[in-house]
Amino acid sequence: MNKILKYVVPALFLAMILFVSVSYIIVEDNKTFPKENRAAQQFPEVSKESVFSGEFTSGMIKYMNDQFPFRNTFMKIGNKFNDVMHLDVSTGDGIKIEKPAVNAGGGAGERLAPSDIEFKSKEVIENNPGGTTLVIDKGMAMEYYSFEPSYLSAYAKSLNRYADELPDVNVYSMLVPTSAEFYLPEKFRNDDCSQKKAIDAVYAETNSKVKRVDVYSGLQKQTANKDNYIYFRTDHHWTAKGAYEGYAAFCKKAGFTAVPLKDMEKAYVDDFYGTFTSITENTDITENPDYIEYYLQPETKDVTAFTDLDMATSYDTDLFVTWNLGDVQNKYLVFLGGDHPLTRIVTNRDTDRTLVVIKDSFGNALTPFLVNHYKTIYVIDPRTAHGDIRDFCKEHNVDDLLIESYTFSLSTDGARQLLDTMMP
Amino acid sequence: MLFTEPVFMFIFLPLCLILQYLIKNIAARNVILLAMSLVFYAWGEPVYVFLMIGVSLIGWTLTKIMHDKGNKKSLLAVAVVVSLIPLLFFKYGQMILDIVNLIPRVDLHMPELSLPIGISFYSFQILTYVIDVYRGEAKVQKNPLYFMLYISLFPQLIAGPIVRYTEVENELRQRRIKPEMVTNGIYRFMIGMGKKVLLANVVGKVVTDVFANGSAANVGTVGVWGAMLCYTFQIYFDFSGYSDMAIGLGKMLGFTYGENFNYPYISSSIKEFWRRWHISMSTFFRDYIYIPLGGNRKRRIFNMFVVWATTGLWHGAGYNFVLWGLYYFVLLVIEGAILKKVKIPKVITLPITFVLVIIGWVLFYFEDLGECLRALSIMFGMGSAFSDPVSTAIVKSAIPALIVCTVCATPLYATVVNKVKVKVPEVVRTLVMCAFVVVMFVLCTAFTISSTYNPFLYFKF
Repeated sequence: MNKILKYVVPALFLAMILFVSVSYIIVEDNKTFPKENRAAQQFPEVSKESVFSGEFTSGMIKYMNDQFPFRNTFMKIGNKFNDVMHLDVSTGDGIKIEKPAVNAGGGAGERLAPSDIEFKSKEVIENNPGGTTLVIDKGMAMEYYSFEPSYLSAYAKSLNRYADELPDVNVYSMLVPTSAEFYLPEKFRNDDCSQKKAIDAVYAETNSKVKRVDVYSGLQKQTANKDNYIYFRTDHHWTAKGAYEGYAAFCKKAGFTAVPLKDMEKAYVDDFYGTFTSITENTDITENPDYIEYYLQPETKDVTAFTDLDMATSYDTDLFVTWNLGDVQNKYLVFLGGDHPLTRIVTNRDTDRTLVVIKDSFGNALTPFLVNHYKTIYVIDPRTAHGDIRDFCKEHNVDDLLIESYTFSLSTDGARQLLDTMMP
Repeated sequence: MLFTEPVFMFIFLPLCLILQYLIKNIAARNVILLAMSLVFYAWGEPVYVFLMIGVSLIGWTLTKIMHDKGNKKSLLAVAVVVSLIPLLFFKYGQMILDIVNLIPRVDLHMPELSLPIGISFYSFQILTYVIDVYRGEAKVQKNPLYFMLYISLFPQLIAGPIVRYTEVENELRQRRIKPEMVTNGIYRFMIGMGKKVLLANVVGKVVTDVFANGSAANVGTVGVWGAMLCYTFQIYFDFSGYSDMAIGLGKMLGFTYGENFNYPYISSSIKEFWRRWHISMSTFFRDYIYIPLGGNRKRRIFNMFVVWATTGLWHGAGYNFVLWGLYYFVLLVIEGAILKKVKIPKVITLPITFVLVIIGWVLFYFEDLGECLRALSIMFGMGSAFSDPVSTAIVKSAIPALIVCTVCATPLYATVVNKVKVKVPEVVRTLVMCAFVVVMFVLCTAFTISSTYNPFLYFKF
């Protein structure tokens, strides 16, 4: 008996290792890790150059990490261990210390384009509680709504009033289409829900003083390419890359030279579970979060928020606010730290120009780009700001005023009403 | 290649073990092991592998010449110096040039070269061969391939222990690989991996999180002490873990290496600490530098000074490392003087020793002397805050890990295991060992495949 026993541990050890080694060969290679938003490392190229430069060995290391046959189970075990070895601690200021997680740091690192992920749902339409109708197709959730001509007309009239009563200010209008316009399957399309028709209807009634920013064409061109990440899949907003189209269109209308996107430094916020993840139960949406790629603007000098237009009470904020995003689901708040009644951005630009942006949440991703052309930008959220826009523009020597609304707000009278509150 | 990488665990190691166990002829075994060890090294150093081969063969050749000419002292000097030249060049080149550049109008610079992995270890191993042959303690190795095998043996090539030629001299010619030895080797290897991956990496993360940008600026006193305690554990479990893995792998292949660590943190004096920490290195310095200089017999203090300055220097080409070595020189001299006169109970000297060791690691961790001073002053209450919320919270969150580390740094576990082992039938022992190996294997692999945080501290040697 003892003769056999002494071979047990060595045999077990070798068997365990060989079991994994063989499994590596048998189990099919992972291609992507949608939950980590990156591609999985494939077997590296073997060549004289790659061996001597060390590229082959580092690729091999990443390959073995990413293609480990029982990866998910082992990662769960690792996280449990980390959990046991650490306490949950928060500082007095409410900063929570995150327990280290075993994530997949060893892989190829390229973030996935939406077209890389395999989604199950095709052309699904859902009526969800609260009256939101969603269409889910190819991993994209889209809000589905239709337009009333009377609301479109009222909005146009409001724009006209702004242009007429602010003669010293260049009044711009930007109407931003949502993802539904470009990704909605054919079978759901009709004239009533065509956002292009709605936008055209508004501009048919605006006067020549209202400067129309055509952001539609740029977005149409970008979204024609399936690999472009222009709109979020799990959220109703456009990405910063989509907002860049708005910026480029504005520059064209205003006579500025837009700063090329490739010249801007990128930063990321991962694991963005957007608004639709709370509405639908479709796993294509709830289990495949977005990530936010945003572009830093070094010309920013100071960003301050105020509780109202009188600027009596202020608090600090920033162009991109990341420190509290760990606890927050709506990571879109990274842009400007969310909606403040009034936000003032002061830049280092060598210009005197002042801009006011009256916006909804789409404007949050757009505003940072505008830092490149103005000395001061005032961002007004008409839902919470109270005051007269005419007095404000006079007091602050405003040169340009941009009114940004996304098309969903044209499907009700809400946007128009908000604009009118600022012109009592 | 590192032992904690899947390439090693699932490709290299099984292949190596199977070949070594199936092939019985010693010459064939050695050649294959040599080839695999060279692949192991070349994996991380595709170019410098040739340097290692070259330096080793030159050292072997010079030793042969020295021996054939009757072990002339002058030839010994040549062999020693030539063997050290690559180490001096690659590791200390810039440091030497910085001193030379003090001469006015001289401004020399080293070319941009990375440090060949393991050069501090294999250079010293060549020296043990040269010097032991000279002293007649080792027989000349007639087969250069066998000598190459000694130097490049993959278990100890990259990070020690510093294995002396005499330790493996016999096993090069003949080794019977017994299953009991393999079992011990596997056990040792898994313990080492656990120390590195489950303990060192975990507390090590606290250190990098607290000392953002490698500085103690804005960290409170509690934070600095807490992070340094974590570093104290990290460096021990990291290095002793790797030594355990090396010793374990050696056993799996039929080689017995000497112990490198013996629970250093339970030492009740600095002298004892250095008998328990990095034993292969401190004995190297004792046998090949201290004793030849005269040891205890003449110029004791001067000899100690040289040994500790060079010990510090061996750890890194930086003045903080020299300072670290000399810190221990001063402590040893003072301690020696005090303990000759007074007997102090262990219950007092043990914690004092531990605190002194932690302070020593401050000098080791902060390579910039300014940062060193900053950390030390914060530790002694001259910082801006006693406790800053973030660092204190980070340290606090690692308390369970610190408790486990404290227990594992003592012989408690080993003592209990050894007591129970003999009372239990062999079947039970085998089953428990199996369970241990499987659990460790699964736990460690969970971390090695993610490689999010896997530093290896003693690696830059």
